[in-house]
Amino acid sequence: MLSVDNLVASYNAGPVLQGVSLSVQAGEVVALLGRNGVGKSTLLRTLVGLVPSWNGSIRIDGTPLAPIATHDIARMGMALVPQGRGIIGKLSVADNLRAAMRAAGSRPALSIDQAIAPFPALREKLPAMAGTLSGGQQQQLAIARAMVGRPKVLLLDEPSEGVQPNIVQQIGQLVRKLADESGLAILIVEQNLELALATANRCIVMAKGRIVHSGPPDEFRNEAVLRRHLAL
Amino acid sequence: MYLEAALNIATMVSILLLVALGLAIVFGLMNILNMAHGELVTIGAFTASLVQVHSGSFWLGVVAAIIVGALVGWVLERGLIRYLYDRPMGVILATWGVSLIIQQGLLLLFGPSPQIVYTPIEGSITLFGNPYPRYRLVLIAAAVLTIAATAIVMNRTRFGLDLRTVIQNREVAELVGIDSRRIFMFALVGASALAALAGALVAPLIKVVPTMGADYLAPSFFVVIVGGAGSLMGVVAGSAFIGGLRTLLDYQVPTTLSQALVLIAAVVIVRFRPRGLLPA
Repeated sequence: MLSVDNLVASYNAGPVLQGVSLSVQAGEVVALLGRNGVGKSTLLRTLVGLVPSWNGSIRIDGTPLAPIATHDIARMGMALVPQGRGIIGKLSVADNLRAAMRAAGSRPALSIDQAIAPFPALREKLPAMAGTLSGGQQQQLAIARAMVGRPKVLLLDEPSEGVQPNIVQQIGQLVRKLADESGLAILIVEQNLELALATANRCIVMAKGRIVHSGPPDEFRNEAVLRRHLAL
Repeated sequence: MYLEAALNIATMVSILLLVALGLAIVFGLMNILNMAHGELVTIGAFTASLVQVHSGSFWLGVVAAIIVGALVGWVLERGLIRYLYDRPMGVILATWGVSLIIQQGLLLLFGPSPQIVYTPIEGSITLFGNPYPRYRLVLIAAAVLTIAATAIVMNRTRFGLDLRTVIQNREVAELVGIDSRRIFMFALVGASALAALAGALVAPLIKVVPTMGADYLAPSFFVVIVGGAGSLMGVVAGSAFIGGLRTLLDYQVPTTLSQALVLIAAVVIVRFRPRGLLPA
């Protein structure tokens, strides 16, 4: 579904991504692990065109993406839930969802009812300003918003950040369910190792702008492996 | 006396409202300092005058002004501003240059004397025993209609939702599939058309000369800043405050002094309400 080959990218001085190659199949959840500052968020932002790539290719279903604008990438079916959630605080919850219908491009978008079906708590908040929601509710809204355009690939950057523990678990279950039921390809960057290992089919480790290791989640339950790759 | 003052205030407020509305969108919402905004008002007034002189119809001139204003806005965005969204100082310098070019160009073409604009609706109407020019009532109605239409476009249309999203977070807007450059282009074209419409509508009441735009740029900025950048109700509040105070002071003191006093009052308001009377 998503395939990335030899991707090189940077903000300005010196490349942050130094030849990243990876793939995520439909229905698969891949957790991207690594220490702070190795380029995980930069990789997600490069995939959606927010950071310019200098070399390499990004494909969805075999169709190459670069060099096109971020909104076109979104319309081709790649959705990013950014770090910090990116909720538009001074729009209502319903308008946040409505705004994202553009991402469907020529496909029919999800209705607001369909989009919030997994998040019953959002229903009564639809007319409220999105900025008034709690952290957990904002994260739910961010995921619902990403789903409105019926993406093929979902990129999640730190979905558990600033979210209370019971919602973290819910989000984990939902991520798994989205991959299993909608056939989404999901790439998740997550500091919460428990959440990452519980939802992922496969884990890949990034260091110094490259993918240095790939393996099943169970492998990362071993202390020695964790120490070697993540210095935990 | 009081009624006359009230109607004069309403006229002044309507003029400010019309002229500042486009600036409220471009400067207040999109944060672009378009120094050529006043010249778009001038272009609207000149277009109305030219079309009226040649066709005999003022209202055809108003429609033509909207179209010409939109076209000039489009050229300005495509040719200049779109390259400078990330460089605010660049926008100020470039659009200031454009404003000088338009002023001097009109001066070369038409000379410094005022253009002829006939009032489309002659005569007065008697309101509560006082005669009042009919066209001023039309102008007040036009201002109310224009702001209502703008509010509907902003709050009830897909374009309005796109624009509100882009203004609040351009990156997220792109992430959810909104073409932010296209939305900004349409917003700038719309705001330019509004400025030209304002110029055409006020043309029968003022001296239509190439430098008239400068007279409107500063008050428009006051209106937007005092009223509260980023909200349409702020434009109404700002226009009411600036227009109301100025008209009332004009009854008591010379015009130059009243302008200065209004400016001082604006400074005091911004000191105590830095985000304006009715912020977004």
